[in-house]
Amino acid sequence: MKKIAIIEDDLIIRNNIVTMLMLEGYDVVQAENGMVGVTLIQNQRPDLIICDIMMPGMDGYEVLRTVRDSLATKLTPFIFLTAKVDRNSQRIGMNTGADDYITKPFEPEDLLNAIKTRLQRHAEVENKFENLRRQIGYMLPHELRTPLMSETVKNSLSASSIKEAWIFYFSLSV
Amino acid sequence: MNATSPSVLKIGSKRYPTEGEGLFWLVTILLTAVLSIFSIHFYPLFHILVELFSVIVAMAMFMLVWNARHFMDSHYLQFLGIAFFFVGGLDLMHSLSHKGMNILAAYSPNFSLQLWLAARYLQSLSLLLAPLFFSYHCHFETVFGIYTLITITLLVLMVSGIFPDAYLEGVGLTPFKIYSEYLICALLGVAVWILYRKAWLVERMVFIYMALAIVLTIFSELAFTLYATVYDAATYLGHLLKLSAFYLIYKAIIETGLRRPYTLLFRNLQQHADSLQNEIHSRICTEEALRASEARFRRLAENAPVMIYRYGLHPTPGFEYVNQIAFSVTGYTAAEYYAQPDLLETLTLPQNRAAVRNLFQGHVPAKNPINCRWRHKNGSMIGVEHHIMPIFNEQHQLIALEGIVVDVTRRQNAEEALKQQNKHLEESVRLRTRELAESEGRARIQYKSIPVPTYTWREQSNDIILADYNDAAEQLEQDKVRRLHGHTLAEFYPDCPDMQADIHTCLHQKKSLQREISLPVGGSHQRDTLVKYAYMPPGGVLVHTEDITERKRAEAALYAALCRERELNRLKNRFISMVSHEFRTPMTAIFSSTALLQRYWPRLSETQRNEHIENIHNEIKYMDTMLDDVLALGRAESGKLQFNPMYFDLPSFCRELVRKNSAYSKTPTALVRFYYCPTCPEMLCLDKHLLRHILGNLLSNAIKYSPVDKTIFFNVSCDPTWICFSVRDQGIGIPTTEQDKIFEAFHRADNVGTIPGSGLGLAIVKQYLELHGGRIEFSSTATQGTEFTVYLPIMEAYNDEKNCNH
Repeated sequence: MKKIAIIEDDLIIRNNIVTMLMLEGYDVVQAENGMVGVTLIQNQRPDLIICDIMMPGMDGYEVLRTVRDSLATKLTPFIFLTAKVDRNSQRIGMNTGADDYITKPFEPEDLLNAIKTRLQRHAEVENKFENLRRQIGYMLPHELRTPLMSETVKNSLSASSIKEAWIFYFSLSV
Repeated sequence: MNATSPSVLKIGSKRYPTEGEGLFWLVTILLTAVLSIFSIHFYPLFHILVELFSVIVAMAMFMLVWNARHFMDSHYLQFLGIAFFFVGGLDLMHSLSHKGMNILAAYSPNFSLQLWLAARYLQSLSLLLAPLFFSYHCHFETVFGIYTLITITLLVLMVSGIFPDAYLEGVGLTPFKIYSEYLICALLGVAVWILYRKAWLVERMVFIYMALAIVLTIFSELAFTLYATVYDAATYLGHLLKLSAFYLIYKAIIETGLRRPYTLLFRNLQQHADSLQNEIHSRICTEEALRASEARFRRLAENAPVMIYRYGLHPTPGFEYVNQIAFSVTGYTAAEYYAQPDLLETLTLPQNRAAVRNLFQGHVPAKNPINCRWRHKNGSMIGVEHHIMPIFNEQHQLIALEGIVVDVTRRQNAEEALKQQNKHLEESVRLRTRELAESEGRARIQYKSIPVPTYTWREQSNDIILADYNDAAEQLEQDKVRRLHGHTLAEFYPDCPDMQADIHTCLHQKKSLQREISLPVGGSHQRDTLVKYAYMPPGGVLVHTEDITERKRAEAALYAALCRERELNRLKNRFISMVSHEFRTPMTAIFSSTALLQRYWPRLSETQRNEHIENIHNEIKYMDTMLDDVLALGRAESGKLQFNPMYFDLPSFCRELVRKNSAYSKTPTALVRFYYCPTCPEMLCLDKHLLRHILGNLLSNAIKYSPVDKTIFFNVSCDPTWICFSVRDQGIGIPTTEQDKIFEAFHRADNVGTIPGSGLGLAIVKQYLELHGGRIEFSSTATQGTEFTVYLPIMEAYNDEKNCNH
C-alpha cells in the first residue's frame, strides 16, 4: 500500500483529500503546515507528497527544498497543490523540482491521475535502480567485496555512509 | 678765306711745289747772280733793274688784284694790291730819278730819296693798315682814289719842297732820312705784330709770305740806313731784300688772289663732289638702314601675336598688308585677304558692317580700340579688339586704314564668364545679406521672446560685461538689468561665485554647460534656477536662467504621486492575488466536498455526508463574510462609504456586539468582560455602521486568537474630546516582526496557525477609523496577548442636534 503525505493548512480541504485518498486505498499521513509536514515526511517516508504552497510559516517551496535536500526523499514524487494559478508560480514550482502542479480548485480525477502517474513512474525508476543494483552486485567479483566487508572497513564506515557510497555508485552507473 | 678747312690746306700744299720749282729757283739764282754782277760793275743798271723788277712785281700785283677783284674775296690783298700799285709808282719814279740815271736829271738825289721814303712810308703804312681789311670791306675805287690823292699830295709836297730833305749834297743822308727809315722799321714791326695777332684770320701761306715780306722789308730798310754811299753792299742787299719782299707779297697775292680762287673753285667743286659722294654714301647707308629697319619692322609685324593689317583705299580698296597671325585668327588665307577687298566687311558681323563702311569714309570712331565680334571663316565667333589708325595724305584725304586686331575671344569669354560670375556672386551676396539680415532679425525676435530670462555676456577688455538681455529678463528684474546693462559680471552676480565661475569656464573652454543653482531673484529670495550657458563666438556667453522652483515642486509632487500610485497598484495587484487565493481556498474545500459526496456517496457514512454538507455550508458562509469584508474594504478605499454619524446608546450597542461575537462560534470561547466607564455619556453621535465593523473585528480577533480559558477585556472610557475603546486579550499575540504589517489586507501573522481568517479585519478597521477620524494603537507581545485601543473623537459638531441624526 503506497503511503501519501498531505501537507495542507486548510482543514476541510485536507480532510477531504485524506478521505478521498483513503477511499482510493492509499495509506495517508497528514500535516497542517510545512514544519509539521517536513518532520512527517522524514519520519514516515511516504511514497508521494502532496503539498500546498501558501501556508503560514514554512511555505510549500521550502518544504520541497527540504525534501529534495534530504537524500532519502530526493526522488520522492512531489505534487504541488495550490490556489496560485499564475504562470510564474507554476514555473517556480517546477524549477524547484516539483513533479506536478495541480491548481485549486481541482477535479478529484486530476489529483488521482497525477498521483497514479507519479507513483508509476517512480516505481519504474525504482525498478531500474533495483535491477542495476542487483546486476552490479551480481557482477562484482567476490574478491572485491570481501575486503570492503572486512571488520576494519565495517568499523571505519558507518552503515549510512556505505549506503551513500552505494547510491553514489549507482547514480554514476545510471 | 679766314675759315680754312684742313682739306683745303691739304689740297693747296699738295699742289704748290710740284711744278716749276726747280726752274723758279734756277731763274732766281741766275737773276741774283746777274744782278750781283751788275751791282758790282754797273750799279745804276742793277738799281734800275732791281727797282723795275719790284715795280713790275707791284704792277703785276695791282693788275692781278684789278682783274681778280670780282672773285677775289680777300680784301686784305685787294688793299695791298692797290697800295703797292702806288708804292710801285713811287718806286718807279724813284728809280727813274736815281742819280745814275739821267732820265729825270732835273731832280736831285734828294728827290729820289724823298720818293723812296714816300714809297716806303706808303708801303709801311699800307702794311700797317692792311690787317684792317681782314674785317672791313675794301671798296676798290675809293681806296684807289684815296691812294691817288695821297700820292699826288706827296708828289706836290716833294716838288714844292715842303717834304723834308733826305739827302743833302755833301752832308749825305739827312737825319730825317735815317730816322724815317727807323720809323718805317718800327711801323713795319708793328705791322708784323698786328699781322701776327690777326694770323688766325689769314691763310697760313699768306701769313708766312706777308710776315716774311714785312720782315725782309724791315731788314732792307735797316740795310739802307747803314749805307754811306749809294753804292755799297748794304744798298745791294737792301735792294735785293726789297725785291724779295715785293716778290713775296706778289706771291701772296698770286697765291690767294689768283691761284687760290681756282683752288677755291676746285675746292668747292671737290667739296660738292665730296658731299655728293657722302650723300650718296649716306643715301646708300640710309637705304640699307631703311631696308634693315623695314625688314625688322616687317619681321616684328609678321611675328606679332596680334593681327596687323593695312587696308588701302586708293586707288582701289583692298588689303595691302596682312601679317601671319591674321590667317590663324580669322581662318582666311593670304590669297583670300589680298583677293577680296570686302573681306573686312565679311569678317564683321552684319550689324556692324555699316560702321565698317563709315570707316572707309573716314569716320573713325572716337572710341578706339573697338571691341567687337568677328566671324571666323569656319563660322565661329571671335572676339576682337580692333585698333584702327586712319592714314591721311597731305591733302588730308583718307588713303588707308591701318589696324591692329587682337584676338580677345578667350579674354572676352573669360571676362564674360567673370562678369557672369560676378553678377551671380553679387546676387548671391545680396541675397545672403538679405537673408542674413532677416535671419538676424528673426534671431533677434526669437532671442527677445525667449520665455526664459536670457542674458548675453561678452568678453571685453579682460572683463565680462552684460551685453544684452531679453524681454523675460527685463520683466523679471527690470531695474537691475537696466541699471547694470554694460556692467561687469561681478556687479551683476555679486553673491554667485558659481555663476561667475561657470561663465568663465564656458567662455574659456568654448563649450556649453548647464547647472542647477539657487539664485536670488527679484530682491533676496532664492529660487531654484536651471542655468544654461551656451558659448556664443566670439567671446560671448548666452545664459538662460530658467526658474524651475515650481517645476521642481511639481516634479516632487508628481514623483510622490507616482510612488503612491505605484504602491497602490502593487497593493491592488497583491490584493487581487490574495482575494483570488482566499476565495479559491473555500471553493476548493466546497469543490472537494461535493466531489467526495458525488464520487463516494455510497461508501460514506451518514455522519460523514452531513459533515461534508456542513462544511460546504460553512465555507459558503465564510466566503460570503469574506466577500462582505472585501466589499467593505473596497468601499472604504474607493471612498464610497459615507461617514454617517447618529445618536445611539453606545453601552447597549457594545453589549450587543460582545454577545454576537461570543455567540458566533459553536465552540466555547473566551469570556469577554465589558466595562463601560460611567463618566462617559451613553448617548453619543457616532457612525454605528463603522463602529460595528471596527469593534466587531477587534472583538472577533481577540476571541479567535485567545485560548478559551483566558478573559478578554473590553473597556470604554473617555475624556472630553475622545472616546476610547480598548480590547485586550491574552492570546497568541503578534510577533514583533509582523507588527508593522498587520493592517495590510490579507496579511496574517505566522503564528495564526489554523485559526481561520481572511486577514482583512484589521485593514477594514484601519480604513473605517480613518473615515471616522479616529486612530488606533496597539501593543502586543507574542504568546502574551494584544491590546488594541481605538480613539474616536467626541466632536461637538457630532453632538450637535443639527448635524447628528437620531
